[in-house]
Amino acid sequence: MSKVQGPEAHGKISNLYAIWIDGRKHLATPNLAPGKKVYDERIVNAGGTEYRLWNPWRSKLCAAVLKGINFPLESDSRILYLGAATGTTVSHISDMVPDGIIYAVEISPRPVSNLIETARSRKNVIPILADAARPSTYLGMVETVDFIYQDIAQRDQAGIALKNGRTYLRKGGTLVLALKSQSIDSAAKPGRVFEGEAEKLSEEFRIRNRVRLEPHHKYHMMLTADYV
Amino acid sequence: MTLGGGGAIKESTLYSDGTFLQKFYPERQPARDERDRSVSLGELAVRAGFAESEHEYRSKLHMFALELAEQQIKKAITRDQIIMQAVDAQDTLNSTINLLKERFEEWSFIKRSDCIERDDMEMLEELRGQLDSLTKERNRLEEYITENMHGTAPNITMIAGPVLGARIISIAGGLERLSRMPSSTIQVLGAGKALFKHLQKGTPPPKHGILYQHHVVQGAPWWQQGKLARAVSSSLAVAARLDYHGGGLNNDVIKKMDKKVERIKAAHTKPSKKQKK
Repeated sequence: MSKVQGPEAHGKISNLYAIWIDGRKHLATPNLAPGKKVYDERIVNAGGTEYRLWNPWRSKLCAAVLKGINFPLESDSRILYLGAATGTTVSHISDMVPDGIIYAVEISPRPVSNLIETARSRKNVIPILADAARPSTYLGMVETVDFIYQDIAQRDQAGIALKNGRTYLRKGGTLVLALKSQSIDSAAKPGRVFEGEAEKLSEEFRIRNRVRLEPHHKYHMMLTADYV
Repeated sequence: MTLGGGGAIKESTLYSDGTFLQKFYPERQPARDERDRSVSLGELAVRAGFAESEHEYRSKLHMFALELAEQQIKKAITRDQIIMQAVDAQDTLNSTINLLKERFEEWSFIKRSDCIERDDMEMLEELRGQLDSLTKERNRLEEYITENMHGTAPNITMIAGPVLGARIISIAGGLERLSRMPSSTIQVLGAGKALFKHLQKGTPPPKHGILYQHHVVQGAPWWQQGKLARAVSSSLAVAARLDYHGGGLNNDVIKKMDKKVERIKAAHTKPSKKQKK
């Protein structure tokens, strides 16, 4: 039987905890759908609550938080999530904002069918099959939000963030953006690619934080920015 | 044109007869303030009577979004996607078979040069059995692709054959996208790397991508290949549009392509001076 210590609340992010198992630190979120797993995550009981361990190798957001990135997520925040894929990271954010709402946009039908399954037991997840590069296509479903989280492997990553920011992010809201240098320019040096994207963003955002996601995710950077 | 101090832009034109026309425009707001218009769909829904409370709106929206996404997924699955899966599976099988064959031959070589144990013989035989069944599977897939291509994309099949046709659809990302492509794009499908190198660094443009596998292009002398790839791709563009819009098989497309091919072959029996360089 392994020894569990914690949970201990994590900084500014609501419902995010650190749990130590046999002395090793893990990030975890309280399961909003107790008894249900979303992927092959490990489940731990601590202090009468069921927690789902968050795997930094699978989630860029988790890797970024481990690397010290912080953002003011509240339990009732409204989030626009671009590039939701099958919903592994979505499910952890869903745990963190039990009274909030996540508009989860994904363009590809196959992962959306997994996302739908996840959303069935999570009332705060609104799955949307749409192209994040065309924000006007989901105008009728998405409202002004407090956060935009974007993790899209497309060329114009900063451009997509800008477009969605203009349409949906409230003044003072936060953008959390995962940049993948390989899908912007596979030949250029990642550092230079990140510079270029950050510069485009700074037209409308004030960039707060940047971290590289090595070793968990190669050629990736996470960036947080305020909409001013 | 003058800037009105009171929040309006006034434009006035004075005519020679003394009358004048004045235009008022509301002052243009700077773009950065437009985003200040926060929208709460929940509030709107309650005010419009769609829901009693924001909570109710959210649970209705949740149900609506689930249903909508499910229906969209069902609609998104089309016949050409099944073909794409099949042809991609065939590609994977091909490389697997080749890899295994190489391994098998090296192993057989050791078997021949050394006295090998009975157990090892059995292992090797088993591997051969697997290889045979993989090869059978590949051939079955080819039949399956052929059948489906004749039904879904008869014109493309006529121009490029079922397997190459299916591969072209797969690279293009579907029949619909292929049908919207100009023939110049189709000509270099599968040569993305060379094309972007050309655009960025000014290297010579690719003459053909996957179309190199077309018998008309592949069998021709090198100085004709670019021209022939162009002829094939333009016929493919027409064929794709016919197939996507359900026009049925039209033999004119292949007839015209054959004529073009003959003309090119007759006109370019030797490489041009420019090509020789």
